Amino acid sequence: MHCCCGPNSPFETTLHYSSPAHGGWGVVRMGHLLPESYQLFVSPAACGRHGAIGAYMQGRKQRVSYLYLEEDDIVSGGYEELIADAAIELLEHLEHAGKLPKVLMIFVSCIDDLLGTDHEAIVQTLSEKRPDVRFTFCHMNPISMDTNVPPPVNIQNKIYSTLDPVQEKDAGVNLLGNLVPLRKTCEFFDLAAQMGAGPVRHVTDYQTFAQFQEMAKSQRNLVLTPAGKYSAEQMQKKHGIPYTMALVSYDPEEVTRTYQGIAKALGVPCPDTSAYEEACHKAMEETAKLLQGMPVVLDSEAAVRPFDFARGLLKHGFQVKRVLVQKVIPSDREAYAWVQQHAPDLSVQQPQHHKAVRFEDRLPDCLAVGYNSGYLTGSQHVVAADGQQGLFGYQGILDMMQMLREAASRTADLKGLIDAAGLVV
Amino acid sequence: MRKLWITLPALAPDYSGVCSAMFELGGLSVIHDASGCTGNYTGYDEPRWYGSKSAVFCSGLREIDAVLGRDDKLIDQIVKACADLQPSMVTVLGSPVPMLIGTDMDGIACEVEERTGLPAFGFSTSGLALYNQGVSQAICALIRRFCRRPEEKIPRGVNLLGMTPLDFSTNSNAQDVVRLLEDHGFPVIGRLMMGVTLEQIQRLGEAQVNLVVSEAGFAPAQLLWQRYGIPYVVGLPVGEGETVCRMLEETLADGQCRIQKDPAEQGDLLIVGEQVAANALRHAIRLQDPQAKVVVGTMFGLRAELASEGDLDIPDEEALRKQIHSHRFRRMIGDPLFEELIGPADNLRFYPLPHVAVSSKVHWDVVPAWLGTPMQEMIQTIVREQKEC
Repeated sequence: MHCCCGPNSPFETTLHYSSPAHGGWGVVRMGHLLPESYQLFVSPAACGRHGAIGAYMQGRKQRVSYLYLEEDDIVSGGYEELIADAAIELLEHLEHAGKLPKVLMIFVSCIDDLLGTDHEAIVQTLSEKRPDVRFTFCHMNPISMDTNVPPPVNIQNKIYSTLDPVQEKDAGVNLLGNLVPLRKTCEFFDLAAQMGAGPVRHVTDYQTFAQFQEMAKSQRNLVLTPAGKYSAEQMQKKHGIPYTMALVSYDPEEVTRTYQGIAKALGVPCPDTSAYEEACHKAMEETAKLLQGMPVVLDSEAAVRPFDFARGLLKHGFQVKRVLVQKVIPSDREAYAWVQQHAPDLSVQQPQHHKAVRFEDRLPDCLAVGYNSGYLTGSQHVVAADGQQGLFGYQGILDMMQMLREAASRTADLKGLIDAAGLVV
Repeated sequence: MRKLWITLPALAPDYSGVCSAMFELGGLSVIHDASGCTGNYTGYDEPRWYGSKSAVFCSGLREIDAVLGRDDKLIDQIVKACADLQPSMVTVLGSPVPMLIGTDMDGIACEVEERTGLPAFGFSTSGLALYNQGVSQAICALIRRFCRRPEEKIPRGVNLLGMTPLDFSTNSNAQDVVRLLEDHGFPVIGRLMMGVTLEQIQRLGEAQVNLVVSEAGFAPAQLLWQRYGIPYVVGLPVGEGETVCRMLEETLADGQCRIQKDPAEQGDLLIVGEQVAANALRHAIRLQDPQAKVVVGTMFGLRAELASEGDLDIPDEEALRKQIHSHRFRRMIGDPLFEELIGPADNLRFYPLPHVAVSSKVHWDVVPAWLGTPMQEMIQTIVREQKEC
């Protein structure tokens, strides 16, 4: 396996540039996937601003409130009582408005990592006072981004941690890691049925917290993005539900291996997927021809594994010129090594490097996949992709090819796309 | 509970104020945080960010750096960035974690200055204070560092103090004020901090009068008064803008400082906003209807020198709710997000007036121009509806 460091490595530790196209869902939006939940952020006032404004923009502000800590609260440690009192007052307010949630997610921020708040004690106190509400502490703490449980990983774990164990399991499979449901046209549903697995469950299927508990009945978790793996591990410990990695890929052969892996995990023969794979190869070759050598730029927000994406494209004749990625994640290292070997001229740039603000190496005529690719290249042709388009499997590849063709044929209103995406840092 | 904000978002914080003030000077600004604080500023408090090449960065602070006190890592990264980007100066800002662990922002700035030879500023911002304090601190720091003792005075020269998009947005407001003053024969020397250059800051002392157009500009005006004896007028031109121009003439004539204030008189119209702007709006209303009784409230810290008796300090959402539900007021002007706090039982007519430091990008594209016909029409509507009540 190739190393991503060393003297010729494109990866450096620098000050971070935060482009207007940088960001994703944010923990507020992700946390709102939990049905009938409400969020109380506990932090210095400023920490809550972007989440609140983002929630306003997306019509979700009615599910999040804030407890603002001041310096004397932090220094004295008296804020622990404040949290409990604020939570009770908030619930009374919501109850009066007919909006009492089933789950109150109490978010703490970066400073909490250094303060050592006793979350368990607060949950216990609150549970005694309000046994009709579930409480859980969550984290908006990017100070932990370099750990194994950064905020985008932890919030998913917290969502699924509210599932109660059940004795009997059924043939269902849960999809973890993807924040939007898979597109219904995806062949996965058909293949899963052929493998005797079903129903297929995703958190977005549920309108109530009680219904959501159904996910605890599934026989297996399928992890579609690396961010979902920690949740799957915890569910294995708590519920005995095993998991299989089934990461989104834009390499048809990798997709085939994924389905073979799922079948093996389920202990059944894998259905014949050769026609699906062949259709993908054809679509990718045709799309590459249509682009007529148009340079392609990818970023790590459009595809969690951008080198997997690059490999899939390069194998089918696309001119992938640049990948914008801050670092290579473990599940993308194999593809990175392949790209280094087979496309040594492909340039890798860190979108957060301080030099990004100089906007050198503009590529206005490239096909930019992802908002950051579009912004940093100045491209007129942008695929509006943030990794949450519900793409998976062979159909995911076909749909992505469609998106590439459409973007190549029109001029994008990038600012409009970014505004509509509601990206949050 | 005053610290519980159920409905409203947090207001723009101090580090956003500093960064906004420094934005146009070609410097390099670094917020020492993990990512969210910088994202707050660039994504939600800086309307100029899209398409900008301004060098504003996050330090990428991580837990291990905080625990080990790795200021050296930050300094090294700043020095490296300066070598690549050649900024005019460096600004290093704090956030909640550096506040908690006692990071010496001034000390970091000193070391950066020593290693780069560039002017460097450290601000112990924390995210606990508000944007206007940040803007004020930034302007004062720039004055102390760069403003030169004047060799001559520019006749009728005016400095504008306290302009940032957090109050003025990026519509024509900043240019309109400049144009108004120039049309009235006041050469504008310093445009702090929109349309600003380092040279303007160096020459601030050449002005004969300072015009403070937001509360954030008041402390800088006091500093220039102390250092160079330049009197100030506090007033934002609104509607036709004639009152402020007249006040400038009077101050030029007698060298006295002036503050645009009107009596509050237990009014039934409440304006909640930036204090100087709200005062100006009150004045514009009373020009049309001298009988109008208007109270000004602010969520950004009521400055006593600028307040009329009866004006309100509204430090949090609970305090604002209290005023709204008090039945004392029948009409209210404020940021559109405040309207969510008003219920049918409050019997309160609401006039939206977006403020970037409150509602950020939700409404920053529709902040009205302070000068000109649309604002005059809005004021006429308010006055007319008061008379009809």
